[in-house]
Amino acid sequence: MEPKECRHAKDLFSDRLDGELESAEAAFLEGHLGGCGDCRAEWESFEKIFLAVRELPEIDVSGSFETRLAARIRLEEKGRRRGSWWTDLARLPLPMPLGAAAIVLFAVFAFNRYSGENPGNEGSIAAGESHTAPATDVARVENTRPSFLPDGAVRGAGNVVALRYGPPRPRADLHANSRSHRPGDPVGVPLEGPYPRGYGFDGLQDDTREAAISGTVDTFQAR
Amino acid sequence: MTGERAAGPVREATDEELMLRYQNAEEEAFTELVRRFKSRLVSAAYRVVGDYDKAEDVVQETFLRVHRNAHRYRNIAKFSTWIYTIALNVARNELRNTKRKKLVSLDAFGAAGDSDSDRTTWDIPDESARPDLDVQNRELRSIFENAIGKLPVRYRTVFVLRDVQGLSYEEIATILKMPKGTVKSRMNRARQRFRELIEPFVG
Repeated sequence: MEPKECRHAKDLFSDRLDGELESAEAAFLEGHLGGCGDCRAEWESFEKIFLAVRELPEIDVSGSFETRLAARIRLEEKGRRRGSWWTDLARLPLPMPLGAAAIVLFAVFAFNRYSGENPGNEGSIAAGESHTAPATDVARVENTRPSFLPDGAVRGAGNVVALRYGPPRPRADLHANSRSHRPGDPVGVPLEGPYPRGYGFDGLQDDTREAAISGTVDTFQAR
Repeated sequence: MTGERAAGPVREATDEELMLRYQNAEEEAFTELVRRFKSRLVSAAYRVVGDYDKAEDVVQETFLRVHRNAHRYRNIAKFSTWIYTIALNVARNELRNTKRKKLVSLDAFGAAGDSDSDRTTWDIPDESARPDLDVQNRELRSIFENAIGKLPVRYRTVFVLRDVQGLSYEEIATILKMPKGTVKSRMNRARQRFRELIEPFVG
């Protein structure tokens, strides 16, 4: 079996080759190589091999390397210019697409939360039951102010009111205060009669209310 | 473009200065970086993946990524460290893909038991030749290249970067994202294995 000193000496060959031996180890190895012929021969062989490895020549690159690279870059640039918005988005640093996704999700959530689908925030009227919308379409005027605001604030001046088209929504209390279509009424002609109160028209100026009912505006700012 | 704008001739600029100039859309700077690094990278990639065409593909992809991510380069790291990191990532992906595709090939040196080695079909040199240790000797070069190809991947990478490319241990540690001590210990083992592999041929 190989003496322990020889094993230790050989373990230091690699560091010696790299010039990374600490002084105590360097002194030990020098001393050992001076007295051990086998280890000295092995060190000489080791050094010779790895100095030769360092002389391995670089590999020649093919003549078309740069031309091909330039073509690939041009192709990529062309694709980038043609790129769709999502490929541009994908190139942004990670937090930006995440932020964009969060905004989209928030917008969808807010839309669902505060649109007319929420009974607690309804504030709408199925105007098609009484006014100008075609027989198949019904205009609804919605108050888009969030439900957490006081009721008075929702219906006061300055509210944003959206007019949307949607399916008729029969409401018993609405019918109680308004005149609805009856057989024989002309379709598309505004009906006369009292506007129902408490469904979004309260507090609006007359011209705004008319615009909403006639279906000529989608969104407007009430005065 | 002349390549001699206000910042001076590209040939005199450091790698890092060239990269900053390329960030400012100076194409000549990129051309110079390609000129400086293409052979070094192809040599390293060839010795890691063991196939010339694949090595060129790896380096093409490396430069493409440099171009694509030029805006991300910050002058806090050596450019060579950055580009070697990219090249080795691409090379390792290539090795993984190759490994998936093909079966283990002829093991000329009998280095069985290295689970992560990626053996390629290398030419088996003529053992009787026993050439002198002159790497200009074609046969010896072939023996060396074959032995490098037989090293397990984890040893081969550090071996190529250190002994063939001449990078410092600090740079290799940064490129491979591992402690310097681990790099040195792998290098030690890589050299031992390399000697074992060439011993039958160089005596």
